[in-house]
Amino acid sequence: MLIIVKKVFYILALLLVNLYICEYINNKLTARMDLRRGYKISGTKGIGFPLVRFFKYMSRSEKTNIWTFFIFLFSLLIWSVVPITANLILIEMDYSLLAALTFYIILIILLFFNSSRTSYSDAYSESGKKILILLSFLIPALFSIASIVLINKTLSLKEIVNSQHQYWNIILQPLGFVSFFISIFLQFKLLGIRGKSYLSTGANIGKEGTGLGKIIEKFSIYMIVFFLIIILNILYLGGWQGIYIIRGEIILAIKFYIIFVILLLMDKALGRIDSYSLLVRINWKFLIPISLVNFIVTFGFFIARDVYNLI
Amino acid sequence: MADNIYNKIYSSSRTLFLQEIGEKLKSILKDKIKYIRKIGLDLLIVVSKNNLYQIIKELKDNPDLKVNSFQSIAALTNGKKNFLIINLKSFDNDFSVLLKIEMSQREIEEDYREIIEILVKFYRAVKFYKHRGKIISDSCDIRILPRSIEGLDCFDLDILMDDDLIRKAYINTEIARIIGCDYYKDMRLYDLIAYISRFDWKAGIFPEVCLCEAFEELLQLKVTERAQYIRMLLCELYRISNHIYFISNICNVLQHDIAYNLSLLERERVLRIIESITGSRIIPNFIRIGGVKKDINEDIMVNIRKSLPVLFKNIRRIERIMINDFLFIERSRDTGTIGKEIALEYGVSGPNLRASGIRHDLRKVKDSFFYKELSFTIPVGKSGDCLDRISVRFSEILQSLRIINQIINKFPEGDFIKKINVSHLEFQSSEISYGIECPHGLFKIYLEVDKNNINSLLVKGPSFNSLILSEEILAGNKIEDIDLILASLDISPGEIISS
Repeated sequence: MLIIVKKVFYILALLLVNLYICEYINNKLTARMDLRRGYKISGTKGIGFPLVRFFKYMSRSEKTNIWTFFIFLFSLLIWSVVPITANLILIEMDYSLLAALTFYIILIILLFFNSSRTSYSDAYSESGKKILILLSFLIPALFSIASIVLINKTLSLKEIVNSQHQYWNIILQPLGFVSFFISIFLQFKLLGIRGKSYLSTGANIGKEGTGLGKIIEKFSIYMIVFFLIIILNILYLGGWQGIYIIRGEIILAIKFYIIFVILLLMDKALGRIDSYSLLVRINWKFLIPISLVNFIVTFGFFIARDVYNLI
Repeated sequence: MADNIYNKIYSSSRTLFLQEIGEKLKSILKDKIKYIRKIGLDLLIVVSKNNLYQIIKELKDNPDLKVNSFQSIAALTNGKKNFLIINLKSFDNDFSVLLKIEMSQREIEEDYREIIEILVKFYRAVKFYKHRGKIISDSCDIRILPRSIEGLDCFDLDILMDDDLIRKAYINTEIARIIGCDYYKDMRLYDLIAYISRFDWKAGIFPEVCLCEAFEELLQLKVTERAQYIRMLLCELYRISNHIYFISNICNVLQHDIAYNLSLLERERVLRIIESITGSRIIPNFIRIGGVKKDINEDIMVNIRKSLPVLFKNIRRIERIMINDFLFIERSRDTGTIGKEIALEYGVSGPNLRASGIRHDLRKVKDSFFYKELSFTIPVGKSGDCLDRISVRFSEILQSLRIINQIINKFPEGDFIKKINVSHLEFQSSEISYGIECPHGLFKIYLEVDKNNINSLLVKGPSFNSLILSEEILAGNKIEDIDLILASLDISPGEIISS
């Protein structure tokens, strides 16, 4: 029992520290690219500012509903099945990949329900559209994941990492990685981590909602982004596999922040994608075909090797 | 000396050409018109309401005239002078006519609809001037209020939808409309020069230049070469500033943060140069009748010379950032396309017209400044979509930089103003129509003066025609493209609320 409590504490502490650092990096980086300074440069370069902002939001008028509670719950529950490192996992099971994906989809659907709180019908329909498109980006991701499952012959995230002790999956599945990464990037862009979240409020009413509801929404979006980056690391980049004498946890942290910064920079460098038809085209004409080709090739290889013993 | 002062501004070839057209019109229209006269850039034809249908039919259908473009219609009712002016243009033969119908105030109120009905038969654009309040309020699916579209808080947009596509769009400018002719009432000449820029605050100095040049032509006053060069320099600087502002608006619509911030930085650089010359940034009040307010010293020249390569480099950089972004290309290509014919028919001018593939620039046509001595090209687009309108403006910025470079190299010595006593100015009783190529298009004023009074002043900005056209081109596009299309037309709210 004590071990579980200890693990929960470690996971929460790790998430909160990460959240704090990511929020700080996000603000500073985006401000620098806007040719601004970001958080006030007084004293220690505004290092305590995310906390101040948190309290500021808290002290404003509250707008919470039942969905806010569920969103908060599921954005924490998702970490019970996703291993952050080899030991930091609460529920160990053979189907942790499926469980994680289920939690993720539920979280997105809850965000959709949460957007119904707006009194603007336009904003509701717009966010509805965006969330459906976001869900459709899961299709290429699922094809890529299926290829990985075929190669590693397991649905457990822990075992997928362990099977990469020799080669990372990115070497075996470069096409799958590309489609998975672009899918993640587009989901990241639609989630809108840069302060202007259009996901739950629509394009025209970016500022709607303050208080606890807004914090939880932001928290859930960060959790989704963390989940996506960790899954990418686990599936393709060797997870917590160490390199030489460097510990795996440190390597994972480095990879995590590098991917986070790359996603932020890419998000910043490209304009907002307003055109739904463009998003649908990118998905159905580019991502799904290449992930499908990747899956078919992998499947063919698998059948040739394991069923007919040709290779 | 006398020759130098009383020297005609227009070249004789242009004057002769207009006179020739005037003679031709006189012989064709004969009894239907009261009289015809050349005023500034245009031919003024005074007609009665009864003959209007026949005159317009003749103007439009006669193969020698081909007056196929509707520019504007404006009524002036100030008690003493009441008339209605219709501005039409022939692009094929390169002349424009002003049809002036003199009526009493009551007649104008009663017959206005009738005149519009006559015009609608010949020009589609006039549909905009019909009363459409009931159509709009009854059947629209979505109403976009002024505050929803950034930078365009001067009209309602009512949309009829067909799933995701716009079936029909109506623009309602009845909100926020002030009457242009009340603007100059009881105003001294100096104040008028200061206030006229508010008609088109985005364009900065151009309304002032237009007004002062109109007065100079009325006085037949030739401005010194140095003053002309200073005016040219400021015009080009304001053109760059306006175009960069336009680009920043586009970036804002597309949420392209990097290009947005970079473009605003460059605009700041240009505005600082302008500030060092004029002392103010947006509405400078710098042009005077007979010259300019202040001379430019050597330090400013050095500063401009230093800034030019930096500006050139940075603008190219912004262009590259935007053009290399596939999202930007995807959004702007084939969106809000304006064909050649429709652009001409609706009287669109400036970069919007050039983006449709028509090489027309008043800087090349008219020779009031010394543009003929400078070498520059007029960039044109191919298809007239949003991408073309943006790339034409990028090219124009680069051409303006080229012009500024030549201006600095050729900057002449001499006086910067021809001193005249403005408080005792006396004009002959006459009218003048004067236009200038401002960053959005053709900015035009119509003036009537009598001794030292300004009897009437009508201002016609280019944005109004673009706004009328936007009703046409919005149809068939997606709802999420509305912002982009309206931003790409570079509509100045100042013109809409006051013209």
